[in-house]
Amino acid sequence: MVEFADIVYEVVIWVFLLYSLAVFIIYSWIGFYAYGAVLKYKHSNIFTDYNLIVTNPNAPKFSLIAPAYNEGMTIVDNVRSLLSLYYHNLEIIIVNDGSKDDSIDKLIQAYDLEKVSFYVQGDLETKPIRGVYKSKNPAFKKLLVVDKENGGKADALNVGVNISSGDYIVCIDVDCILEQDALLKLAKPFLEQSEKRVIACGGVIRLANNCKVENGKITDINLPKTWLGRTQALEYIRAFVLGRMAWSRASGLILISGAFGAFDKEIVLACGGYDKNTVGEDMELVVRMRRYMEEEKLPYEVVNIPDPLCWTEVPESKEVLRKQRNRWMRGTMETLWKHRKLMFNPKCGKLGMVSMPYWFFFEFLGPLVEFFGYIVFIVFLLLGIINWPFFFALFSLVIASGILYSIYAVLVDLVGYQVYTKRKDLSKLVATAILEPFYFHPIVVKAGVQGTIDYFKKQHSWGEMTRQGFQQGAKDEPWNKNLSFYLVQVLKSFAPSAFLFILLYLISTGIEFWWYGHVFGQLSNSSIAISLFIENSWVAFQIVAVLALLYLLFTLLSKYWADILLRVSFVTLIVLQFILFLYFSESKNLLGADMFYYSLEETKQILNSSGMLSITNVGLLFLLILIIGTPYRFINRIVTKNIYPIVSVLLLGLFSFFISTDIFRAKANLHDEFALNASLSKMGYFMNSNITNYLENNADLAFLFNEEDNFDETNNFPLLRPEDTKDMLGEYFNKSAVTPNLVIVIVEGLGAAYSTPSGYIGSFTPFVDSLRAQSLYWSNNLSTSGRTFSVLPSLLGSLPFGTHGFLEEPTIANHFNLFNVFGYNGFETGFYYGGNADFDNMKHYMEYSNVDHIVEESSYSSTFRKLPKGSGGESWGYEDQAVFSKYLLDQTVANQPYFNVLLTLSTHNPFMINNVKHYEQLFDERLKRGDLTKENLKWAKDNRKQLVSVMNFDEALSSFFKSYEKRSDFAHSIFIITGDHAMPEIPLQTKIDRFHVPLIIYSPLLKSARTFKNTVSHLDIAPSILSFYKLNYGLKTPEEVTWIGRGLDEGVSTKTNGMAMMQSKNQLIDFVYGNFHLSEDNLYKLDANLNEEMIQDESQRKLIKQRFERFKKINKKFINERKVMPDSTFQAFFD
Amino acid sequence: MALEITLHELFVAIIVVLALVVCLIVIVLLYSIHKYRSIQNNKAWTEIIERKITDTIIEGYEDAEKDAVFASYLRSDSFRNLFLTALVSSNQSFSGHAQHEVYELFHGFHLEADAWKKINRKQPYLISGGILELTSMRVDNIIPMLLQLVNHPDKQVYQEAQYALVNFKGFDGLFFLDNLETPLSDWQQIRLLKSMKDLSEDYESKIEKWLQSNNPTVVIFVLRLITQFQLLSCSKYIISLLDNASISVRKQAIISLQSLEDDTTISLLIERFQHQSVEVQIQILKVFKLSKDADTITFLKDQLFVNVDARIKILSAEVLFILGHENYLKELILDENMNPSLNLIIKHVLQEKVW
Repeated sequence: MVEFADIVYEVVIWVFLLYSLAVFIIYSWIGFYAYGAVLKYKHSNIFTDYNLIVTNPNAPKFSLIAPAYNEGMTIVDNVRSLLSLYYHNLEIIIVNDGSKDDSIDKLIQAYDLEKVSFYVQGDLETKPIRGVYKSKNPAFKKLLVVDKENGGKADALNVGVNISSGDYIVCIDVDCILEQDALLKLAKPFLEQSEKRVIACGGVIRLANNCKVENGKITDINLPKTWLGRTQALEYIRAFVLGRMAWSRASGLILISGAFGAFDKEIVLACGGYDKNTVGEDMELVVRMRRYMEEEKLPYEVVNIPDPLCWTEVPESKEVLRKQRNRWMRGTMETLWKHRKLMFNPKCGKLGMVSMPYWFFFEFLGPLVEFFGYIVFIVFLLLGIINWPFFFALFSLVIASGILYSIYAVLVDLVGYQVYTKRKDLSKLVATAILEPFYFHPIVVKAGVQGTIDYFKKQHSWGEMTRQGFQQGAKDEPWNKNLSFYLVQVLKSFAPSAFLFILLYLISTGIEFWWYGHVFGQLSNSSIAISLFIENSWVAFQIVAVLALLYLLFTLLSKYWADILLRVSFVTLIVLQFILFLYFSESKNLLGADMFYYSLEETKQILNSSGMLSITNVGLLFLLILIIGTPYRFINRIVTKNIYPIVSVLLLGLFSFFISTDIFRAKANLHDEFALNASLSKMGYFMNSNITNYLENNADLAFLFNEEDNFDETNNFPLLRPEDTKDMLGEYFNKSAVTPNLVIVIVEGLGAAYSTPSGYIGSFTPFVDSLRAQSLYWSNNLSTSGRTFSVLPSLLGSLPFGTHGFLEEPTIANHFNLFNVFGYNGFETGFYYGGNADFDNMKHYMEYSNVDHIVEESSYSSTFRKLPKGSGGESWGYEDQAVFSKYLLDQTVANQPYFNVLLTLSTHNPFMINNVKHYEQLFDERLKRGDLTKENLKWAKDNRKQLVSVMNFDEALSSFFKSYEKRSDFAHSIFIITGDHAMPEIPLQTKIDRFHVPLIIYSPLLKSARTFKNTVSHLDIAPSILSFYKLNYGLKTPEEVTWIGRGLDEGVSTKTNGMAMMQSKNQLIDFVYGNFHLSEDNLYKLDANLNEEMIQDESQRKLIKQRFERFKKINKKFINERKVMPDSTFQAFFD
Repeated sequence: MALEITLHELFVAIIVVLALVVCLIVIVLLYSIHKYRSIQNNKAWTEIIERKITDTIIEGYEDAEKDAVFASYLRSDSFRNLFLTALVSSNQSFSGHAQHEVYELFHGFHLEADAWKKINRKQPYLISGGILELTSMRVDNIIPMLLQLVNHPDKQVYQEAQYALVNFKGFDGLFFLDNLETPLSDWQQIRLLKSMKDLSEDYESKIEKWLQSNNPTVVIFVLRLITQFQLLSCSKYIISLLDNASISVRKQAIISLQSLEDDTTISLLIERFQHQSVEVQIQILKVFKLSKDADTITFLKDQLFVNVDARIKILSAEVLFILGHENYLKELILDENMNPSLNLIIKHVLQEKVW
């Protein structure tokens, strides 16, 4: 999990770095390219005689169109300014767009206008025209005023286009001031066109704020007074002198400013004029014109000339500026969305492959990426994971680059047309360049982000449509038509969220596969990828089908809440998918309903010790929720038109409930248990586990799934029987003069795979190997669970499981176990553990069993060493060395025999041990010994950390025995060493490996060592031990017992009833009987070394399953009765 | 990962780039200061130069030669370049004696060498600048070089060479039209036409040849030439262009025919009207508007009713109005059976006031 957090951290940083690098490169290119373009234009126009155009009878006619809305204060002066433009073949069209003030009246009065008949030749759709006015005064014969109903700027421009008679239209804002020779300079590019048709031409727009204006002309140029205005002056220089010039030279320009631009009228009409439905009509028109030319395959150009031709006022208040930038962002988004088919479309040339992608990734996404960067910065700040030197270096680079770009723009402007001639103005511009990143830029970014939000907000809600539709339906249509209409609307509303879910879910599957390949080398093959993809797709369709049904029902109550719940559900499921696959990669186990059977304290301890609950991971979880939740914030605004795709998905979902993915899994040919589990859908497993668990816990429903059998329901104590366990141990021991002590060492996670030379990893326990050679050893011993929770009741009491482990039952049922029987017989008893004994209710069990000494985490003094803390800041408990030392201190040599159980801890996830370097060295030396196969080495290297901790335990055990040997009571002590289960974090080769643990009985009293190959389990230990003590040392033992196990001689042979195992607290899915292992309804055959392979023997499977079901019934009986034996039987023994 | 980059390496890279950016900021600032000073300098120099030119025009060149202060400025290449630019700009504005004095300044201060230096550079804008300067100052020696430069790969250079050739050689300078494959922009055509003062004796054969060029812009240019010089003898070559594949050529041919109008022009255009595209038809009607020939009345009345294009109807009505048929148009408005669209068109033409 920590590694995953690191990777996410790195990915986020690299994304920002690469994005910044791209911006840096692009703007560097713009800088150099624009410089050349400006110089080229300047050099080629030094001697241009624009009078040639004035005197030329063939000069093209320009129609200057200026929409006006409520401009009554200044419109007369503005028009006068336009009338003084130096161009003879010109008509000026002022379009009064339904002004509420006296604009039209002022114009009529000032220019002696009269309403005339006018035939509008253009056919662009517009709001109705109220009247067309011409002047009676020949001095104003160029002027045409159109009065129309209000329809917006685009609509007004379209009216102008319809009215115009010129070859080219010049669209301006009426309050702009044009240079006298602006049209001459604008006409030249159109006259110069040869191979490529110039379809649009723009000029540089400069700021009129604080400039002196006399008679409609700029007479004195100054920088704006406010810093906000000055920053915009700098911004305009960058945008027009650098940006537009570079893109124009590169034939990639897709924006001519709406404040001033000239267009080829024929192309404008061919494209359908301005789009009234966008706030960015200027950019949208240019894109559409270019698209038209690309589609017609006609050579064309969109040019920008660096001459400052137009002066405009910019907002000098933050509020107005925000509104402006908000509108610009919405306009950009509308255009990008409308022309999304151009994106990366090679048929559209540079427009599709360069211009549109640039605008999308840098002009549109730029503010959003920057804003996201602020959030990431704050998140990292709170998590305390910012590398400050790196941050400050990068921050300085970003600021410096921005300053350089701005200053460079001022230089290019100086070289080009030097609008600001006063030295103090230039100095102010430089100062503005330095201050801009700190106060202006965040305003613009915020406005951009708000514009994005507002863009999505503007979509209509479905609810209204439905209500309207329903109401309409209720009036006229029959009920079935209303219903089908309603269903269609529901599906249309559901579809976008569903498809987004499927997309994100499959992306998470891809990440899951990549992550497995990254962490586990053996999981990078395509079989797993295919299987994982199919499994997850199946689950995704099922989820969509179920949620569709729930959504349908919820919308009947409230569409609003149905949408909210749907989105929250989808986001939660995707986040859960990530959590589940990360859990699997960390623990090597599938997470099922067993997570609900750990108490909150236990869960917290597990998470803390494993480092899962670190601030980093929590932060990453929030980041994940943010990333997945963001598209869901807006997705419901999209309503699909066609329901067939979603219907297909729902049918697939329905279909998937009836068709299993087993056939695909079989074809995937995955034999390895771990690989098989990896290829499963973690979400699917989790859900099935919970559903099964729920059903099993509900007797009312369980009957639906249970098979009939002949179990005697009337027998309340099916386990109770006379004690008849044979003493199989006695013959191997020499008789001791005193009753031997018994010490059981239960090793956390000690699997046979790595503690025996024949294990698939090889032995990493040299001391245990040496001890084994002097011991009674069962090579085919099985634990009863895949977790620690059942080892004590199974080993000490040979007890059933109950619902989720014997110790999870509400009360501990009266039973006989080694503690209470030995205790009754005068043994001193003790339980030694390095962690919190409340975990898995162990302490409660010890207290029930009247254990004399319970040593747990709180019992240790500071002289003992705890295991190192995990990334969560918590230590699992005291190291094995501490447990052994504590035991040796506490358990003094006494006159009475003792029985102690030691439970170790070091080999538990997160495998943090002290003196790790020493054990790593031991591990490396072990690998070099040369006795491990290639396969062993691979397993070992992949599980280094875990095996290092095993070696730590082994050395601790060795020290323990060395110290014990020096004691006088060693000679008459019996030691049992076993593992509680195999480590789940080390991948399993077969399913049985989970339970395959060593069982060693060592004592100086042994006659000789012996290895036993019969399959036994922890359930067999208590019966055999008590039988040994009874027959050899006269221990009083119960006459009636409830042992499940039949002793170490019988084990799980066919003479017995077999044994069940729980993989986890809610998974009772394994059963061994004789040479067969049933796991999840699959039958495996076991060989002499406890290797297994799946077989297809239906009759055998049925037989094993019957025995398993019988065990389950016994277990169920215990659950229902909450007793394994009558109280009287129990009491009778102790009385 | 194929590329293993440590945080430290990344940090170092960022610091290096930051240092580079800071250096660039300093360089750009210093260069900006230098450039600003240079521009201010140029402004001062421009004043000096303009004063010098004015004084020379008024007082003659001999005094200018003796100006030691001015001579000291001339040691600077930038000043000389600025002086040359000012002389060329002045030359465009002046004529007669003033122009002669400008030439004197040019030759007297040996600015020809500066212009020649530019011709021998590689940058196209410098080469074209040099051509323009030498052409403006009537330096004939450039002509042989122009014959090569007219085939220069850069557009700016060969266009300037074309202009220069026509400037020096007049009509004969248009020989490049024989094989011109690149388009001749309207702007270039305007410049060439402006600099054409007269024609050579064998102009007709050349015009006939050029009118058959596959390059439509060459044909259009020649038609404009015919219009400018009113070459009546060439009208017979224009008629066949009414069937040219290019609409622009046909439109220009109509304009040229109108400028050379004779008795047959109107009837020819009326005859060819129906076979033309709408754009060409509009041009024909515009010609009728200029010619104000009464022979078009019947045709125009016909087009008013028959033609479906509103633009044709408007122009037809406008020509009828110009030809004095205002009353006819007014009567049409009063006709209740009149097509409402046509009614509106006629009112539009009549600029009827709306009460």
